[in-house]
Amino acid sequence: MQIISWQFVVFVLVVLAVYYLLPRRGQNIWLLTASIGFLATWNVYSVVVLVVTVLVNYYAGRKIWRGDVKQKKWLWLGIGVNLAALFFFRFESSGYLERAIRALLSLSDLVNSFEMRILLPVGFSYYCLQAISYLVDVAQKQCKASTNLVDFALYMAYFPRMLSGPIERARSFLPLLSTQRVVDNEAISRGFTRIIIGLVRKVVIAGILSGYIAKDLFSSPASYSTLELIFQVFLYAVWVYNDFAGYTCIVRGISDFLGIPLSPNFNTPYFAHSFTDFWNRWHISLSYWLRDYIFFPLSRHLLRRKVNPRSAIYLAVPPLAAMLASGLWHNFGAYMIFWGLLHGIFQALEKLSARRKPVVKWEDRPLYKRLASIALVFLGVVLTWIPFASGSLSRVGGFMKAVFTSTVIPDITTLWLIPFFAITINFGLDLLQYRHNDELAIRRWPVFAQSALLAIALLAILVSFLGSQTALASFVYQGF
Amino acid sequence: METEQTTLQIHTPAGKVLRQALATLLIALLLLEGGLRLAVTSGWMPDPGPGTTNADLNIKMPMLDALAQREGGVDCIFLGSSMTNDDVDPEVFASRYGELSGTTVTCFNFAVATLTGEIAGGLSQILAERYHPDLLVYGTSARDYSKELGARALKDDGWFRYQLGEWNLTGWLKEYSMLYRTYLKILSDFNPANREYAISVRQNTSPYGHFVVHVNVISLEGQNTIHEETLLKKDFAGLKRLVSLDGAGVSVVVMEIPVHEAFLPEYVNEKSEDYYRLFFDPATEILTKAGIPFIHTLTGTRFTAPDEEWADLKHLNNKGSARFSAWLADEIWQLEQAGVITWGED
Amino acid sequence: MDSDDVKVKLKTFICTELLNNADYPIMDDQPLITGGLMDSFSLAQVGVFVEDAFGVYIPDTDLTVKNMDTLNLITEKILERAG
Repeated sequence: MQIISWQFVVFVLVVLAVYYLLPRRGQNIWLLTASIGFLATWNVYSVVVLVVTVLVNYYAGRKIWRGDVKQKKWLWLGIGVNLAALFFFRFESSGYLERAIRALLSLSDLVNSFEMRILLPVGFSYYCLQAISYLVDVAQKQCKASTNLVDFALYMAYFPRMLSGPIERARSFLPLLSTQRVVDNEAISRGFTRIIIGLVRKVVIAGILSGYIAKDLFSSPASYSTLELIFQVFLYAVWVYNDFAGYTCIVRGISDFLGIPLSPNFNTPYFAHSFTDFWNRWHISLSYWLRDYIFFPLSRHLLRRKVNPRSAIYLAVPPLAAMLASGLWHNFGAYMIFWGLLHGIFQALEKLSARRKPVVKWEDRPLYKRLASIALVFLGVVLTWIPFASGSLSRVGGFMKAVFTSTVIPDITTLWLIPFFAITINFGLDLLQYRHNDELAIRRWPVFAQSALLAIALLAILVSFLGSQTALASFVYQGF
Repeated sequence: METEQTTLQIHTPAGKVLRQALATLLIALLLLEGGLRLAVTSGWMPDPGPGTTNADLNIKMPMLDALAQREGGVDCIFLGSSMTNDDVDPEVFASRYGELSGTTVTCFNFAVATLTGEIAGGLSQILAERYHPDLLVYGTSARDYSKELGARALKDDGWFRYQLGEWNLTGWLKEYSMLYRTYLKILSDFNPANREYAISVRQNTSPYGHFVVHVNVISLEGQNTIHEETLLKKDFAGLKRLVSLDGAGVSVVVMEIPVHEAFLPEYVNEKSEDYYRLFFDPATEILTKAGIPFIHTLTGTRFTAPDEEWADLKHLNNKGSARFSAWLADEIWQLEQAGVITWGED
Repeated sequence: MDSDDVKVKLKTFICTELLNNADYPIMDDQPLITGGLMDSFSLAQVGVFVEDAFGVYIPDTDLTVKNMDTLNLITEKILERAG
């Protein structure tokens, strides 16, 4: 079941209706049932993987909590099992395993038309990281091992965050499950605003932009002019942000209706003034996970080994390792590794260039310098979207070659105004959030202004839904 | 023991912003709808068309509406694919028919590029019900019964299904809401995928629906030939549906739309006998059974045009279409004289 | 462990080692992370400095804005972990 579907709307309404009638314990069991049901609408195989993962980690958590001397053994075993599973599914879904098996089998000419492809279980890469953070936090006594299987299973399976996060931490999420939830006017208003902003981002902005990003941008870049290629990558940057941030806003809104606030995942990332800052604003729950479980341990390990904090090793190795892991987490393709490395290199270069300069407070820097930093980071990030979106390293090469050598004359028409319109809405939303440091800053406006804006937003969402049928229908007119 | 509070604790009044927004939205939509209807009915703005997935249909329907309103109805409608679209000039046809019969008729070419038999069946029914023409001429060729082509998407279009009696919200909105139609028109105009095509259709279509082509490229290169064992049953079923309209106030005539002589041997499976075996014979059988006249252009009564009158091997250019339309008027007049069809008498 | 003593040591470390400016006037409640003076690289350094100077281990997951944004907060965390 997709999040943007009538089925999901009905599903959420039913979940909410029953949820509000039940006592707290019943609510958790109901949410777990609903979450498993939601996952089952994707495939039963994902449910099986989830159940196994939940049981393994629940058991490992208990063992780690109880044990003293041997706790490390269970910790490493738990982390190992999670990572091995993630590695296996990623490796498999990237097609490597299939190729390896085919290669092996064809040696003996056993089975030639052997079909095998295990898909990545839905949500696994997200809840697997939740499981690892749980085990580490339990080992460090940052969080108690859960003694309630239903609550722990719900921590892993909670349907609003199942498909694409946010990645929650047990120490903040589990306590929410063991206390009475209250959904009052304020929570409903917050949740509703989040859902509307999310729909504007996902359905209106990302919806419009997806129609303007050429499907063959990376497969046949030579058929586009340099200007179009560059413009399209910018569109991709705004699209990918709004698509993901929109999804996150919607699921956080739904979770507000359940009285279970989820972590923020985006905070105006394209206003970041440094690459380090970007990762505090983009896919925050993943980036904080990488920081807490890769970057910090590695950095502190280096410092304890008396590595000079101004040395290239200290400033380059931890960000490179964290970003490499991020790339691999997304996909095992070489292009994703390249994407991760680019981000790591940008962070390292940024730190290396400033390592001896006195740090100046952001507000004390002249405006032009602040704007220049934001623009520079944005351009760098846009550049990294090329490998991210391309799907292969050779396509990155082809794309870059076309950017510099294309002789196609750009076809600039009024059509270009539409994506600019979408970009402007995105900029408006971001600027509002950035200035007030609050994604719900709209709620500070007078009631009539909020109503007017909501009316426009509802119209835009309605129009995008109705229009998507036409916009998505392909217009094929071959010579006849 | 834990005392349970209720989770949902809503205090009224609630949802002021939402209520105001919904009221504003409703009023704004009604005002826009009213304004647009006024603009279209008083001629300040062209009718945006029904906003289907088919650009030809969206452009031609308002044209036909305008013609029918101007002339107090339409007497004959031509239907078919791009071959009929390019080949039949209703003005030439009406003029030649007027010379022969002494009557004035109003005709419109409602051909839609890539129209297949299946869709023609539904579309002919919609046109007959909306415009009540006396004569419906369907120009058809083997191509209309082969593989998937663009206009097939129409069968999933809300408006198309609504017109054929299957109620759905988008179909209803496309039929009755000027606001929604205008919105879809804007969306379609800005859609890079069909924008150029729509511009070309608007520029080259006469007020009588004829798509005027001036080019002249006679080459086998780039011509789609058919390579199929059998032609599609669903398209022949569409043909049956189309001819079943005959009788209830409308005369149906089917014509074999011509291809260049040099192309016929290549057209179906590179064997001219396959053109007859797969298309011509099954079509003839359907038409004979229904008692519908079949005007031949490649067999028996042949229509021939010199090379310079062809746009390509399957389409006539403006010169060819003038000759063909006059020829067609002669054929229809003869059918009328022979008492096979009756129409055009006021 | 004295709170003022901790603050003085922290301040000196942050100004000289992290801000590259020994005379930087840091207030006790001045936001360091959200104010753009410290980032995750500096947080890791603070973490190890606290281990070395005060023998207190602050877990990685506690190196957050919530716990470490001002001198007051860092000091509070150190005292809490020491206590």
